[in-house]
Formats: sequence, structure tokens, C-alpha cells
Amino acid sequence: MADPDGKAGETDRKSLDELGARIDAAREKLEGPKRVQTTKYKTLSRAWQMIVELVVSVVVGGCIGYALDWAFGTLPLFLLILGGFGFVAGIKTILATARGFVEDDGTA
Amino acid sequence: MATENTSLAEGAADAAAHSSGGMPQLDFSTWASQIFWTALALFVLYKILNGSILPKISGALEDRHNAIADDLDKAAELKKQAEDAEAAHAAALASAKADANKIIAETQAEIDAELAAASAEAEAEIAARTAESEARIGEVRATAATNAKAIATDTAQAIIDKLAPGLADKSSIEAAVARALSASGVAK
Amino acid sequence: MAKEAVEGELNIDPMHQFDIKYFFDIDLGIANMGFTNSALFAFIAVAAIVVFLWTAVSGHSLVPSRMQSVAEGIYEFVRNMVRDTAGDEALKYFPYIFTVFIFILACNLIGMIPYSFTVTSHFAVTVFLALSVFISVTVIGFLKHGTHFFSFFWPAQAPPALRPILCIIEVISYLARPISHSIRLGANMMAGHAVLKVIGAFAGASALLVVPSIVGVVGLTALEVLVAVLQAYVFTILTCVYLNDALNLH
Repeated sequence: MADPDGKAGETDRKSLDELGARIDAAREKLEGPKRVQTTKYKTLSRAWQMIVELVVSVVVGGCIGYALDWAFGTLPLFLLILGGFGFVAGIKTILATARGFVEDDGTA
Repeated sequence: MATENTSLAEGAADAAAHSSGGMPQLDFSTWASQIFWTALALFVLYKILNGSILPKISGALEDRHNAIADDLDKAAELKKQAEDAEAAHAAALASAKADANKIIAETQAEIDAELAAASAEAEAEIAARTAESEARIGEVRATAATNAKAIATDTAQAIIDKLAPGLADKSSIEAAVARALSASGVAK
Repeated sequence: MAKEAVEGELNIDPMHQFDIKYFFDIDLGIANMGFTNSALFAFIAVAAIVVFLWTAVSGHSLVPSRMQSVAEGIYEFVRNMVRDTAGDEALKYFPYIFTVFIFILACNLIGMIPYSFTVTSHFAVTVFLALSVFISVTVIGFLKHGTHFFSFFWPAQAPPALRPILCIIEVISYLARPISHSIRLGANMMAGHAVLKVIGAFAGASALLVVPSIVGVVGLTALEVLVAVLQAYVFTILTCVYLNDALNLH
């Protein structure tokens, strides 16, 4: 008489515990931060994006240099210097972009 | 622009002439118009979205969030109730078990006591009966012994009278019978 | 255009689809502000977004319909993107960012429909979008930090001798942002459509090429839909990254 009663109590306990776990999981899902899904197809545009960034940086630097040259009449000087700076800036941006991708890959 | 280019050379030349290198994107005469209308479209879109659609979506999301949170609270509450009920049930079960054990022990003790009383009574009765029986047996034995003495005495008298009258008087015969009887263990 | 010269029968003009056609002119002297196919499709995109979102949210039920959950998914996606990239403070700019994102997304996707026009394949539009972001973000930076915003360009941890040079480099890369920001979107949309057009034109050129051409177009169209979504996402997340720089100065 006592044994089947005890068993029933045990299964009740178990199902209660399961219910508790499910409630906790649902609550966590509701409150927890949602991770932004990054798509792996982002890599498709990676190389293209880097080239654009490099070229754009060189061109922007070159333009500023050309403007300075135009103002001071020192034509190739600032164009070359700032073009070079633009190249460095482009490399820097590319490295930052690459780091961003690495971080994305890490979280994905 | 180069829409109906019948001759290729003409078409290419046409395209090159109208847009720089054939890319309409670099035809800067269209930029002002594009920028103006795009800006207007974006402004209209922003007004509509920010004015009514985005608040509606965020309201719906918030309502759902709250509803789910409420439901979860309710579920936790019900779970707690179930646990309480289970605990109450377990307590009731335990107390019932204790009660049952107590009753069993009490009954046992009662039965034991009754049994002891009954057996004591029975023993007393048996003892009484034994005593009674013994008394009767003793009586019977005494009677038997007396009778045996009388019979033996009478017999001995008769025998002596027959064989040798006057050999022994009544008292000596009695003494002899008593002696013989006590030797055979019939009487004390 | 080189292709046209080489291939005799093949008359491919992949750039023709990007032509701007005026429906009517509004000549202001300095520029023709007339209504064009680009403007038409920009407003078609706006109408499509409004109709879609309005239908989706009009039910406003606790258990969302399919459309409602798509709309809510987009909303939460952009919102999380803004918050995760630029922090909670950036959430007050969420409506602007959402507007830009959904506009680019709608323009890109509507551009996938045959015979339609891709508004975002024009640099005029993407440069306008990128410059708006650039100017707004810079203004936000100055409003929040005042002249302290210039420290964004000043590498305080670098060796002192290198600082001026690094500062120039920072300024160049900051100025390069709107350009690469706009070229990335415009060039992607333009290149995809041009390639589609070229491959599609092969089908008309020779009976032998019909099947591979159709296969190619189908595959590329799938890829282009992906690119359309991806570029809207990339443009938006870069906007968030720039906003984050302005709000938090690294």
C-alpha cells in the first residue's frame, strides 16, 4: 500500500522539477539578450570591401594633398605625402574591418 | 540614351556621348533630381514609420513580452501551489501512518493484556480444579485406605477366627494390618 | 561596351537598365528636378514598405500572424543591431536607422523584379544616404562631446612624434568613410544587375546558350537576393558603427 503511493509521489516530484526547469528556461529566453545573427555570406563582399576601402582612402588623401598643392603651388609634394597617408589609413581601416570579421566569426 | 542603337558603333558613341563612359550613374545632371526625390521619399517614409507603424510594433512586442512574463509568473505560482499540495499530502500521509502505527500498538497492547488476563484466569481455574481434584483424589485415597484397612482387618480376623481363634485380638490385628498397609504404601 | 564591339550579333548593354528617364521636367535652371523612374521606384518602395508593415501590424494580436512576425522580426533585428553595436544610448536614433535600413532593403529587393529599377544602384542615392549618415553622425558627435570630439582623431597613446601624422591618417580615414560606405552599396547593386543582364542576354544570342544562361541567371538571381539583403544589413551596421564612434569616442 505504501510502495505504489511512494512511487506516484516520486513521479509527481519529477514532473514538477521538469516543469520548473521549463519555466526557468522560458523566462531566461524572454529576458535574456538576443544575439544578432551574423551571416557567413558576409565574407562574400570581404575582399571587395577591402579594395574599396584602400582605394578610397588613397584617393581622399590624394585629393587633400592636391588641394594643398593647389593652394601652395607645390604640386607633387603634398599629393604624394597625403596619398601615402591615405594608403596607411586604408590599411588601418582594412585591419579594423578584418578584426571586425574575426570578432564576428568568434561570436557566430 | 542608347535605346534604339541600330548600328553598334553609333550606339556605343551615343552612349558614350550621353553618359560618361556608358554609366548612367556618372551622369551628374540627374543627381539633383535623384537626391531630391530620394530625400522626399525617405522623409515621407520616416514620418509614416515613426508616426504610427513603429510604435505599433513596439507596443505589440511589449504586450507580448508582458503577457509571456505574466504567464510564466502564473506557471511558477501554480507550480508552487502544486509543491505545497504535494508537501501537504506527504504530511497527511506521514501523520496517517503515525496514527495507524499508534492504533496498531494500542490494539496490540490491549490484546496482550486481555490475553494475559485470560490466561491468568485460566491458570487460576486450572489450579483450583487441580486442587479440587487432588482433594478428591486424597479423599478417595483416604476412603480407599480406610476401606482397605477395614477389609484387611475383617479378612484377617475372619482368617484368624477360622484358622486359629483366639490367636490375636482385634487391636493387634489392626496394628498388623496398619503396618502391612503402610509397608505396601496403600495408607499412610 | 567593349563587348558590343567584339561580339557581332550580341547586343549587350548591361548599363542600359540603369538609365534615368524623366517623366516630366522641373527645370530650376541649375538642375532638372523632374520626376524620374528612380523617383517612381523610390516611392514604390515606400508604398510597399508602408503597405506591408501596415497590414502586418493592423492585426496587433498577441499571437502574431506570419506577416506580423516577419515585421516584428525585422524590427527586433534592427533594434538589436543598433543596441549591440552602438549601445542603449543609440536607441533614440533607432527610427532613423530603421527607416534607412528598410528603405535600402525594399529598394534592393524591388530592383530584383524584372523590368523594375534599382534606386540604390545609383551613386547619387547611395552618396546621399552615406553623406546624410556621415553628417548626422558628425553633428551628433559634436553635440555630445563638443570640441572634445576632436580627440577622436588625436591618438593620445601613440609616440608623441607620430601623433600629428597619425592624426592626419585618422582624418583621412574618417573622410573616406562616406565614400566607401556609398560605393559599397551602389557598386554591389550595380555590378550584380549588370552581370545578370549580361548572362541573361546570352540566352537571346544563341540557342545553345539558352539552358546554361537560364541556370546562370537563376543561380545569380538567388545570389543577388542575398546580396540585396546583405548590403542593406552592411550599410545599416556600418551606420551603427559610425554612430557608436561618435557617441562613445572609441
